[in-house]
Amino acid sequence: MFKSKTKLWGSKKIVARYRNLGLGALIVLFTTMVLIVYLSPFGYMGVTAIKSKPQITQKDILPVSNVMYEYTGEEYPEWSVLTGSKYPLYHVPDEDGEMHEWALIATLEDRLIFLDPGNVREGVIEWAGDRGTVEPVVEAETFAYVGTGYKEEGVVRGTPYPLYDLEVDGQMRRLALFKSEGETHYFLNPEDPEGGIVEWQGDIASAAPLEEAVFYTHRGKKIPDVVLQPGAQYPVYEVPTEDGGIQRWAMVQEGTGATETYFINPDNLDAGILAWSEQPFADQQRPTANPVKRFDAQWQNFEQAWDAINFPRLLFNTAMIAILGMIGTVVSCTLVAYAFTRFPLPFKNVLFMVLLSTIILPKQVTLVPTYFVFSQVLGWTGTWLPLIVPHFFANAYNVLLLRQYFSTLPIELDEAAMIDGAGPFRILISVIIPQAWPAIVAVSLFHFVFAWNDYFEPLIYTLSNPEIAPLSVGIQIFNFVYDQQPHLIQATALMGLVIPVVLFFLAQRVFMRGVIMTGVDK
Amino acid sequence: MSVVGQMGKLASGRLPSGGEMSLQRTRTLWGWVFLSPWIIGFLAFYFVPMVASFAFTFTDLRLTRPGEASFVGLDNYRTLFNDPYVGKSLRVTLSYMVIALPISIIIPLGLATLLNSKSLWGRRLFRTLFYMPYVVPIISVTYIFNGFLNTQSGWLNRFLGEVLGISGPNWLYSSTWIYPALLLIGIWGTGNAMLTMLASMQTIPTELYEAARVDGANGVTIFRKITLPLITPMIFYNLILALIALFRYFDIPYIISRGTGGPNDITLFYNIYFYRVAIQYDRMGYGATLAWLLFVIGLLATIFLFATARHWVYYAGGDD
Repeated sequence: MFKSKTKLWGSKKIVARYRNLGLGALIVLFTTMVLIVYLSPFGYMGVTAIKSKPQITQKDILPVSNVMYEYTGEEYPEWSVLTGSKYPLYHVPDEDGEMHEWALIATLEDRLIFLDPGNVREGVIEWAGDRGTVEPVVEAETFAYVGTGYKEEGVVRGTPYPLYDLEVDGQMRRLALFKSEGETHYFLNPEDPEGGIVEWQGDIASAAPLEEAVFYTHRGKKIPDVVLQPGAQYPVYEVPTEDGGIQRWAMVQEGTGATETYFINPDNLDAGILAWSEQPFADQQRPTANPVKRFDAQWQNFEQAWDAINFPRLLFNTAMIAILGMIGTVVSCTLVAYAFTRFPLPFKNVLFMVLLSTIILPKQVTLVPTYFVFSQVLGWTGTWLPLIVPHFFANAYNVLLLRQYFSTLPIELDEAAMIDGAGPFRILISVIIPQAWPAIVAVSLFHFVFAWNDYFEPLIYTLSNPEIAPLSVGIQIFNFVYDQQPHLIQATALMGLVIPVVLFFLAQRVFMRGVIMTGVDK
Repeated sequence: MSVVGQMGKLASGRLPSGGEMSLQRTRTLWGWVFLSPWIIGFLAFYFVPMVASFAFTFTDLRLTRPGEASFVGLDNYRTLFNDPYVGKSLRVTLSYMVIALPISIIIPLGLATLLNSKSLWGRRLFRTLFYMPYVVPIISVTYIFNGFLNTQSGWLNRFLGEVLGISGPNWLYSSTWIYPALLLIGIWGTGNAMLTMLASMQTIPTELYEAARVDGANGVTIFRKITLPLITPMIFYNLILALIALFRYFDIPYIISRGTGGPNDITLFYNIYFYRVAIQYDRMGYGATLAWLLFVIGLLATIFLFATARHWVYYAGGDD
C-alpha cells in the first residue's frame, strides 16, 4: 500500500510536468501569434516598399511577376482575318466540285486561304486546287434614282438600275438603263439625274454592263484568335493536362470560360498552338492553369525614394539635431541629477516636485511665447537651434532616471575621493560617471530616439526651410505630395525607422532597463 | 567627514563645527551650480513662457506684425466661448480620450501579463519584440498604418475580406471607423507601459503567489487579488502619462488628415485646432488662450486622477 502511494506521487509529478510542457508550448504559440499580428504592419511595409505600383494591386503578398517566355519561333500565322477588313469574294469549287462563294484572305505560295462568309465560325479554308478554276464574284454596277421625277417614264424611285458604258453622240457616257422598248432603250444619267432621259437605239447586248468585284467585310472576331510575333512575351503557366500531368506552357490567348485558352509549348514550338479548356477537369477540384511566378522585388524603389526625399540631407540634419541635443541632454541632466543626489539644497523636495510637474505641463502653453522669442527675438526659425538649445537645460524624465541611478551608487566612494582632495567636478567625472554608464547610455539613447521621432517642433521650426528639416518633416512633405505612390511612401517609412530600430536592437538591454528605472520611482 | 548629500544630516548633526558649516555652505553653492542648467531652463522654457503666454491671452499678438499687438482685455476669452471649434475640438479630444485611456492601460496590461507567464519560453526575446515598435518614429508608424489600413491593398481589410469574408470599412475616411483606426495605431505606442508594468509584476515576491496557491486560489483570482493590486502604482503612473500624452495628441491625426481634421472634423483634435490658430493663422494671442484652456483642463484632470488614487492605488510602505 505504501509502495503504491509513492508510485502514484511519482506519476502525478510526471503528468504535471508534461502538462506544464504542453501549457508552455500553448502559451508560446499564442504569444507568437499575437506577436505576428502585432508586428504585421512591418510586414506590410516591407513588402509594399519593394513592390511596383501594379504589384500592389495584385493579390500576392510578396512582390511577384509572371515568368515570361519570349517567343523565338516564326511569325504565326502567315495570314489573318482582321475585323473591319474587306476581302474579295470568289467562286471556288470544293473537292466535290461544288461551287462556293468564299472570301479570299491570303494568297500563299502553295495554297489559297479562304473564308466562308456564311460560316465564319468554321474558320478559314486552306485551298490547294487549281487556281484557274477560281473566279471572282462580280455584280452589276447600278444606279438608284432618288429624285421625284420621271414617274410617267416608268422610273421607280430607289430601284437599282444597271450601268452601261455607251457611245452617245460620239461620246462615251456611263448611263443607267431603266427601260427598254424593243431597240429603244431609256437611260438616266447618274452624274446629272435631273438632266433628262437619254434615249439610245441599238443592240444593248453589244454594250456590256459595268461590273464590280464583290467584297466580304469581316465583322466578327479576328481570325485566328492567336497571333504569334517573334520577340513577344507570353506568361508561363502550369497547365494540367488530361493525362494527369502538369505542363509548363506559355499562354498566348486567354479563354473566357466558354472559349478555349491557347498555349504554346516553349520546349516544343513545332507542336503549334495548343488549345486547352477546363472542361475535362470539371469534376475535379478547381483544375486550373496557374501562372508561374517569380519573386520580383523592386529594389530601385529605395533608390527613387532616396533621391526624392534627398535622404542623405535629411539623415544628416536628423543626426546632427539628435546628436547635438543628446550631448546637451546628457551633460545637463547629469549635472542636475548630481545636484539632486549629492548636495544639500534648501527646498530640494519642492524643487524636485517642480521638476516633475513640468512633465504634466502641455507644450502648447509655453509654445507660443517660446516660438515668438525663437523666431522674432532670436531669429532662430529656419535653423536647428530651437530643436537643440532647450535640451541643454535638462528635462524631468532623464533627470528622474539619472537621479534614481546615482542614488543607488555607494556614497563611500565619493567620500573616499573627497578625502583624497577631489573637488565636486572631479568626483562627478572620476567617480560617479564611470559607475553610471548604463544610465547615461540609456539617457543618450532616449534622447536620440526622441529627437529622431520628434515631429511637432521640427514641423513648426523647420517647415519654412526644408533644407534643414529632419527626416520626420522631410518624409511628411514628400508624402503629402506623393500620396499616389504607396510603394515609395512605405520605402520612406522604412528608411525613417531603420536607424532608431537598429540602435534599439543593439542596445536593447540598456534601453529597456532605463525605461523601467524611470518608471520605478513613481 | 561624510558630509555628502542625503547623508549630510547625520554628519552635520555630529560635527556642528564652524569649518564644517562653511564646507556645508560651499557644497550648497556647488549644488546650485550643478542645478543651474535646470533652474535656467525652467525659468527660460517653462516659467517665463508660461507667464508670457498668460499675458498674451490679453493681446491680439501676431507673429508677422508683433509691433501692432495691442491689449484687448478679455476679448480672447469671449472668443473662446463663442468659437464653435473650441467646443468641437474639446469634444473630439475628450471623447477619444474616454476610449483611448482605458485601452492604453488594458492592452499593455494584457501583454505584460502574457510576457510575465512563467511557462513562456523566450520571454526576453518576446519582450524586446513587443517593445520594439515604440522606438519607431511616429512619421513611419503613421504611414505604415496609413497603408496597412488602406481599403484595397491594406492587409487588415484583405485579411477581413479574403479570410473572414467581411468587407472591411474605410478605416481612415469614415467617421465611424477613424477612432478605432487611431486606437489601432496607438497600440504601437504602448511599449513603455507594457515594459514598466511587466517590471512591476516581476518585483512581486513569489511567496505571495505560492501562498495563494496553497490556499487554493486559481489563476484569475491570483491576478485580481495579488498581481493587479500590487502593480496599481505602475498603472497609475502609466495612466498619468497616457493622460498627458492624450492632451498632447497631435502627430498621428495631423499626418493622416493632412491637418484638415477630417473626415467631418471628427479628428479635429484640440491641438490640431491650436496649431491652426496659433501657427497657421498666426493668431498668437488667441492661440495662447487656447493653450491655457487646455492646460487648465489637463491640470484638473490630473488633479482628479491623483485624488482618486488614494482609493485604488496601493503603496507598499503606505500605512501613513
